[in-house]
Amino acid sequence: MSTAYKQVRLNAEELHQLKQLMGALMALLSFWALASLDVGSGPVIVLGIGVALLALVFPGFVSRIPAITWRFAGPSIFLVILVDFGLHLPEFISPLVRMVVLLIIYRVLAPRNQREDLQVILLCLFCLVVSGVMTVSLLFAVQIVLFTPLAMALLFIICLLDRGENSRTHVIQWTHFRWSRLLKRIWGAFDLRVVLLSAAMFAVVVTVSTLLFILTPRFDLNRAIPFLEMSTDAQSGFDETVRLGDVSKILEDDSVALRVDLPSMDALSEEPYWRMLVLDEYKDGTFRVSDSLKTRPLRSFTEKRVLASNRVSSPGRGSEPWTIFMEGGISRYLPVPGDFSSVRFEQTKDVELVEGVHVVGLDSVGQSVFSFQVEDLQFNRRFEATDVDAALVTVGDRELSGEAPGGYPMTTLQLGLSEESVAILNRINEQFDLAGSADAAVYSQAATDYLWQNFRYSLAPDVNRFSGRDPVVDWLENGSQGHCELFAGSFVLLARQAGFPARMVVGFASGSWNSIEDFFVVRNRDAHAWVEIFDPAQGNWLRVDPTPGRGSSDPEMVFQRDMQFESGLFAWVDSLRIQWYRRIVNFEQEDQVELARGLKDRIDRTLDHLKNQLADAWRSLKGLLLSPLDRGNIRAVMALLVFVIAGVALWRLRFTLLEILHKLSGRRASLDPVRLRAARYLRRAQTGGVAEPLVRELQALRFGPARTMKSALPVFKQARRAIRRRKEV
Amino acid sequence: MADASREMRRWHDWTDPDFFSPGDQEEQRVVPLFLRQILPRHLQRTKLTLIGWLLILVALGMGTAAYNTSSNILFMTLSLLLSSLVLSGLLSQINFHKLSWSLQPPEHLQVGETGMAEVVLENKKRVFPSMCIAMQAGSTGQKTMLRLYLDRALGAGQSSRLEWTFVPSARGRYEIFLNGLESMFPFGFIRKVVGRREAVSILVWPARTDYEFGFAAGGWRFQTGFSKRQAGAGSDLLNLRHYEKGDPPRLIHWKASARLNKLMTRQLAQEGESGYHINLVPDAEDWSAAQFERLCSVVCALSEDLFRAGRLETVSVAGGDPLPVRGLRELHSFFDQLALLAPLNHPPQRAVLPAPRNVISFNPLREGGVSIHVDGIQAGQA
Repeated sequence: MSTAYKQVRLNAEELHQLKQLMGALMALLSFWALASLDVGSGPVIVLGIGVALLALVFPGFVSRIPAITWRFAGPSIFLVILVDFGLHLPEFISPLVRMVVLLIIYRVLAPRNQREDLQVILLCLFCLVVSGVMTVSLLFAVQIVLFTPLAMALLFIICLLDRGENSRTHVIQWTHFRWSRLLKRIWGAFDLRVVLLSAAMFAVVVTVSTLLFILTPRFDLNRAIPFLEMSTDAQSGFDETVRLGDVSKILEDDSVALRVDLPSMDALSEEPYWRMLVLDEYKDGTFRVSDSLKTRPLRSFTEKRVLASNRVSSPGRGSEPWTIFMEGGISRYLPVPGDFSSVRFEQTKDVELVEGVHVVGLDSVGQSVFSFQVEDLQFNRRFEATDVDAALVTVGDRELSGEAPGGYPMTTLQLGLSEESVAILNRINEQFDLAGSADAAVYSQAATDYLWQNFRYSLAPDVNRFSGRDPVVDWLENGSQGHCELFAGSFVLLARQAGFPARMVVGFASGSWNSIEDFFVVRNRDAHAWVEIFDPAQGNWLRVDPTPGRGSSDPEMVFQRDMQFESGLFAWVDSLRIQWYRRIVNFEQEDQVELARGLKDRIDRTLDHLKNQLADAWRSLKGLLLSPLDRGNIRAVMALLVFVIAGVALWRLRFTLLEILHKLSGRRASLDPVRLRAARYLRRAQTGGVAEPLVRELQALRFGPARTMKSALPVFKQARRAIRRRKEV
Repeated sequence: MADASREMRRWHDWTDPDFFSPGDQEEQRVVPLFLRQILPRHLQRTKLTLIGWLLILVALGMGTAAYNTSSNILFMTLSLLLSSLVLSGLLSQINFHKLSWSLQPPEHLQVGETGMAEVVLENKKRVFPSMCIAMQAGSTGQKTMLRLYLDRALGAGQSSRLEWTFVPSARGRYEIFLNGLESMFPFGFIRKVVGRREAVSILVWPARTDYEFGFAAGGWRFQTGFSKRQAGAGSDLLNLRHYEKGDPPRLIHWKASARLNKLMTRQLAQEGESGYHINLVPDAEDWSAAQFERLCSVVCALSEDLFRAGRLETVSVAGGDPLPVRGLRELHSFFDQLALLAPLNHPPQRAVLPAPRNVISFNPLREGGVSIHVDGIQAGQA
């Protein structure tokens, strides 16, 4: 009756081999984690992966390295690490990563005992944590899920092999090692019970860690220490200097740039323009942020967690805040479609606010995903002119000339072109039929119509950079196709020449809807450049998108594009990512409070429901007692009586019914409920404490002639008592 | 020291499943109980291993970093570390659940003889195996405890035996003990010990020694009419037993067979040889300590040989009543007496008995020897 294991058991040598190979697997996992960091240690990591693979595939080869090597390897590695740190300080993350890689390589190749195995586990955990903290990627979840069972299995094997001090200096024999043989043995050691137990253990770990993660008290830290934050370069199109083609280059990249968690799809009533950066200065085919916008007083520097704004007069899109997750390495400027009442960051950040052009930036471009919440978000087509723009109004009164000196906002009027180029612009402007109107919107529509009629959209523009003329003006003169920067650039130059202050804006336009988890996705291919033209009549900046295929040429017309929906495997993986950011990365004290409130509400509701049900039952009972002879009550009592009698009858006849069912189902005689029950008691009586005659009676029930449950019940009752008494003893 | 030893024997901390059961806890004062949990020192039952200390250090570092940086990645890793600790505790609890053990000492043991004790482990669980079980065993006089390892998983319902050997160096009481079961299962974070120290005391008989002895010194070899309580071919009825194939029909006891409705055979007593009567006087004045040990060894060896030859009748120690030695039980009882025998000042002399002759007595010889006398005549020496 024993439930003994029947399967193969791995011997000590095989366990040692398995432990060694698991160490190599952990090394691979570590290198995988480190590879996702952009710290310039690629070659060392590639070397590490090669070594780990070698140790995994040909462990015998690694074991043939002479023992004397390890005597010198340690000091040599230490020296290399010291030199590396010395050469690269104060930059420390890159040498740190190289140090960890070298240490793991050393540990994978050198013979390992218990202490060294622990070092491998710790190094792997370190790599995973560093990579996870720096990238905040979903990959960390995958890696830690792989790491946890691997580390537990390794620790378990270490524990199995522990036989005191002597067992800690074991030399593994690799002479006859074959992967196929070991895997066959491991397969033999597995059975359903082991798999189920492992699965149950894993479920326990996941459940407990989830509970701990949720219940660990969080504090609302306003001054959290930035830990392993690494900066990188912005994408070419989203930097302070944008050359023609920089934005279009990003269009080839299909990866996700922004994920936007918004209240509902209805909040996207019009196509969003994720405005990131305003470029006011133009020279020789390059738009840039003028020096005046880069420095005080137009740019203010502050350290804040919540950035409030008083520009919003009406409620935003949806009552809930929008959470925007921006991938690392895109830009240091925040993609915001319009005005807002406040922006809230995860931690206190160094914020650069260029209030004059409605742009918010951070001090650096992060490598990892960065999220922020925007409250009362607006989709502006017109941006209010600020005090900074006051000069434009004055200049407008004096009928703006083509060459206005000074910094911003005068930079939005500067052309910096040759007379020939200005003449070309004038000639084009003269073709517009403005019907005498000096309205910026009318001009914008006319200019846009002109561009749409004469040029078509293409990612392979026919720009001649060697004509000696300004490339945008040359394209206007000789070109026929171009990308968004050429259209926007041409519009800016034409508008400026026509006397309208204009500036180029870069960011993202449109996006798609992930229908699996209901969030908005903006990809790098949605990068776009458009224009803002100053409307002196209304005293604000009007958004104009002169690129063909983006709705109406009338800038005042609200354009709603058909929403694109994402589904399928990639959308599913992407939805996992947003869940990761929503539930894990952005989990904070408020969420804990919300969870607690939700739980309290649910308990309150359940209690109320129970209370109401009890009150109803009490009312019914009261009604029954007060008027027992009422027809309805008599019927209810009768139904209750029938129900009780049926229940009692069923209970008394349960064994007879079971026997009938057994006979009807045609199951084997060995599956007779009496035999099964006797087998169960016999199994429990095996450990002793049950009298021999009773055991014999149980054996008779188990193996003897068939008996009815009724006749067997007294024996079962005695057996139950005997077993219970044994427990009490 | 004695207090510490007693405390050690009684010790069980809160990790012991019986800790809260009434009656087990003798210490009732709150402060000592509280201090004992905080600073258990060498009496503790659950010790952190190197891996455990590392886990705690890593968890502390991780927690500090998590709170300082508000990084949920670190909180997540911390949760995983702590949950692995919870799982470890859970599995460790399951590992020891319904695991019983008993210490079985050897039945007989003489000085200088290699003894073997064994621990019988039984896993009474219905599903889970017990793994990585070790135990610390020791015996009187051993300086270091011996760690025994169960080298395989003990499946549900299975039992296993772990054995170890030891060599006692002196006669007398000898203690074999087991300091509970311990295990680092499953991940080696803690070394957990369950169960109390279990000790078994055995009596170590004197060592065998070489001696010279003339059996027929008294000249009385056979004695008719004197039967022994051993089965043989004499005429006295010793016993009735069931008939076995090959028994001569003349030995069938027909009357008993008729009454019991089964064939019964008469078993007759052995016609006796004249036996010896050992009289041991442990007079402290006569025997030095070393000589006394030798005396015990000689008596032990001689009595065993005489018994095997069927010629040991009675033994008498320190003037006590002569005890007949009919079987091994009596002989072993005499050996137990020898194991604990100590020299006495003025021990009572045995009264002179008229009937039995062949009384063996012992006297000291020079240079630590022992002379053996039968009825006062030297018959041998050692």
